[in-house]
Amino acid sequence: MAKELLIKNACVYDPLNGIEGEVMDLGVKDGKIVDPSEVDESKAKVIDAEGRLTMAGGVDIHAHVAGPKVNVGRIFRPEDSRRLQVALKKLGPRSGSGFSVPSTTLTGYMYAQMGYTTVMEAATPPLMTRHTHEEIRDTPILDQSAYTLMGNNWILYEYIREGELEKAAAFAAWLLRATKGFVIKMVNPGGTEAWGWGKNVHSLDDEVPYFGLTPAEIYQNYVKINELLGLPHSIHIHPNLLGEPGNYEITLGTWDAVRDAGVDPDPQLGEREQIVHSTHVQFHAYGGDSWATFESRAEDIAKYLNKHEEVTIDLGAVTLDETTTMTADGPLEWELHELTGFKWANCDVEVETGSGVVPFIYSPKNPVHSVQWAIGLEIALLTENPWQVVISTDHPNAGPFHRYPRVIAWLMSEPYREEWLERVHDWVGQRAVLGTIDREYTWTEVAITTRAAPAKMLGLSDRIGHLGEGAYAHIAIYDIKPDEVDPSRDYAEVERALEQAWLVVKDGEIVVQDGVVVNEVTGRTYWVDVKVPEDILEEVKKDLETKFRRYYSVNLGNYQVQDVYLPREERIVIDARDRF
Amino acid sequence: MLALQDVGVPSCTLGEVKNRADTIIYWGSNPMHAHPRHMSRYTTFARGYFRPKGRQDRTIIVVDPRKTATARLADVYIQVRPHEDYELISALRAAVHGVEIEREEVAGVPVEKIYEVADLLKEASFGTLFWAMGLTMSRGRHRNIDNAICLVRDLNEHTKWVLIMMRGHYNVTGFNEVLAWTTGYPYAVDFTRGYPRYNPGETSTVDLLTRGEADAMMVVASDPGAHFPQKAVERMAEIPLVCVDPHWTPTAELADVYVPTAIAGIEWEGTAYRMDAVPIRMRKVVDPPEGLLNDVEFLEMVIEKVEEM
Ligand SMILES: [Zn+2]
Repeated sequence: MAKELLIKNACVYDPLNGIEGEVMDLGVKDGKIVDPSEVDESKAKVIDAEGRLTMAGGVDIHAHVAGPKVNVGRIFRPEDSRRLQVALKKLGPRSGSGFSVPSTTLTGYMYAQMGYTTVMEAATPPLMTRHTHEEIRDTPILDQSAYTLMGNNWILYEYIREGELEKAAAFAAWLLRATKGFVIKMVNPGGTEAWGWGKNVHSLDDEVPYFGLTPAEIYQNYVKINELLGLPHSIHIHPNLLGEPGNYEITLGTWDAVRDAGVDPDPQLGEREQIVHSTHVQFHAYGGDSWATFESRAEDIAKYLNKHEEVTIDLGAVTLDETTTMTADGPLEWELHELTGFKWANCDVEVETGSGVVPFIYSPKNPVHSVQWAIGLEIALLTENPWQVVISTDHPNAGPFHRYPRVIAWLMSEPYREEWLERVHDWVGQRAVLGTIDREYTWTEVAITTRAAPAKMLGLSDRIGHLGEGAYAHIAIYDIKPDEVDPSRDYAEVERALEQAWLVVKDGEIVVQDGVVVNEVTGRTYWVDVKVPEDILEEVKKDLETKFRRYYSVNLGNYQVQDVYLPREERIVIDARDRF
Repeated sequence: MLALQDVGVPSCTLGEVKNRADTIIYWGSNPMHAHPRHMSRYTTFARGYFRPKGRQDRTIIVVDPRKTATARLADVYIQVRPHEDYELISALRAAVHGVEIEREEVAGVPVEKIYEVADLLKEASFGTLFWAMGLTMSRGRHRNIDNAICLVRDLNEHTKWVLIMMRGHYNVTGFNEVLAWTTGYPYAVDFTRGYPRYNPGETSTVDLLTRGEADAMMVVASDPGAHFPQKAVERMAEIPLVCVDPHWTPTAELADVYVPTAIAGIEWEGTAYRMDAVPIRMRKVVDPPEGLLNDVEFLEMVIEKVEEM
């Protein structure tokens, strides 16, 4: 394998470096992007891209691809695996199966095929994170990280209730290290804990049973913790009341509550501008007070975002497929089971969190599903600044990740949306505004919302999401020439090209050629190692000895994920000692 | 597994039971005998966050045809007639729904008692049903489990209930987990067509052996020689059989080649998944006897040889 690559005549979209469709050469040396003049052409492998669309490797900021609940999806849905069974050498060297919950190999292959090279696992229950890392280790090609679920953690709740914010922050840092996690993830704060008793919280001021805290207080303390530690990413939140008619109000209220904490983004690494990333916002943008009066509130959501750049989102766009829902939002999955009658799996995790898994069939004939479909696209199109938006389907909750090319094609083409507007239920005409929007995403906006913006939001834009010198050589070249194709008209062409990249380079190695995986490299696992003041950490560790004995079914000594589970770790060291 | 694929499963980790459960059912399960530390560490006797008094804070219900050691500890013992678990679960479901049962007894249990128990279940603030082989082996097999899961699911309309399967064999959960994430299916995976295929009744090990399709067999850390049906074991004896196991087992007895390996969690490290799917790091405590490989080393050598062929 050549250590150097020279890619000629690439039509590059690289928004972080201000490049919009310039035909240029790209140099690659030792896994990084270099100036083409530094590449020794006689030794390098030279590729002529002939004006094809070229972007940095895609970055998925939120997907459920590895860990206990994903595997429950696989185990309890053989019917999903049977929908897509891929033989040896078809997509890559190995076989696999699964449409909405693909096996780990297939997950790596299908993302790479689309030119994605970084995929963040959006939720890991700390106690079971060893499992998450085992799956990440078995997922080829992709760089990944695990978001550590903290939004319902008793130990954090107790410190916060006692007014011990610094201890809470030190514990959060300890937990990130124990789980080799990357992000403070919050799912239905208070609600999942209440689900331990079969209950939920219904407003930002509802008290969490027995803990004397409200969701609003929880958010405010967590955002302070996040900025005290100076983490690369902001708090990553899945607000309360996901999926309920009328929930747009609590969503806006949540963002207000976070802003009321009065902190500014203060990362020790990267340049993010947000203090909160609100995930799969499609599920949180509903009006009405019942399914009968259900309607889109995407306009209110977008209006808020247009005023507040300190809030970023990913879409959670519905793709109208049969899929599998899975979340740490235990009460929500129960509701879905009650609504659909489909089989229900649930796993509450002591001290920390819960989870549920339910199959789901989104149908274009169903009025509610059709409006949900419209909402995801509306939010993307009505939010003016693409740097606040990431394309996602909350895989697999609103649809499988391998539908991203279709979502992108919808956003780039009004005629394509028109075609689907004919197929969906006419509630979309009455209760959504999608039909009145004529904005079409440009290639630059696609590059922002699929690479540049997520990399920046994650605090990793020094190394991924762009093609500037020094960036990791993650490059996706698609078999489509921007100067010959009009995405608005040729949407089918766009969708096809994005499904199967012409060439994908990962860490300087060619991993995909003509849509087929030709080389499995080992991905890196990002995690943050946050140094906090020693004296506070010692106090916390002392507390943990007692708390673990009292609350957990495992020993403290057995809890922390050992290094051996991360064959290629990328430890991001953050020194927060002077910040306390 | 089949029941889970039919109707799902509401479950939790063992620490949830320890911290929250005020009502616990052991159905066809005798942990006093089969899992000696289970009741004191995680359930009946354990003190938990919301159950500071341990045993006193919990109501224990045991359903079993035999008055087992666990049954003798119970607050409520229900002696079900052998093989009538399905009927009893159905009656309990009816009682939970407030439906009138027009009989005097079901499965040997008086109807008044069924109503009493149904009330107990509904009044729980957090209930856990543990079930084990006793329930899977009785007539009805996985349909019993379907029905038990439905009972737990129904109870969630009133309060909080979960269910945990008491799995006896060491790390069988881990095997299901790993196979599922690597292939998409938890067991009985067939690769003959180049892709993973799953069809229990056709592709399970027992199916392949009894149909005489398998013409060679390698067993790693398992003892089908002791547990499989007669006909399958007969086939195992006919074909080349390799047994890789730390212990000398009935399977090893039948094997043409036996490869002793180091014991994970004592002589070698690794990961084991607990019955509630919590992954535990297994540590090495002592060195294995000289020359003894662990199963990973052995299998890697086999793969190397296969690739040379
Ligand atoms: Zn999610």
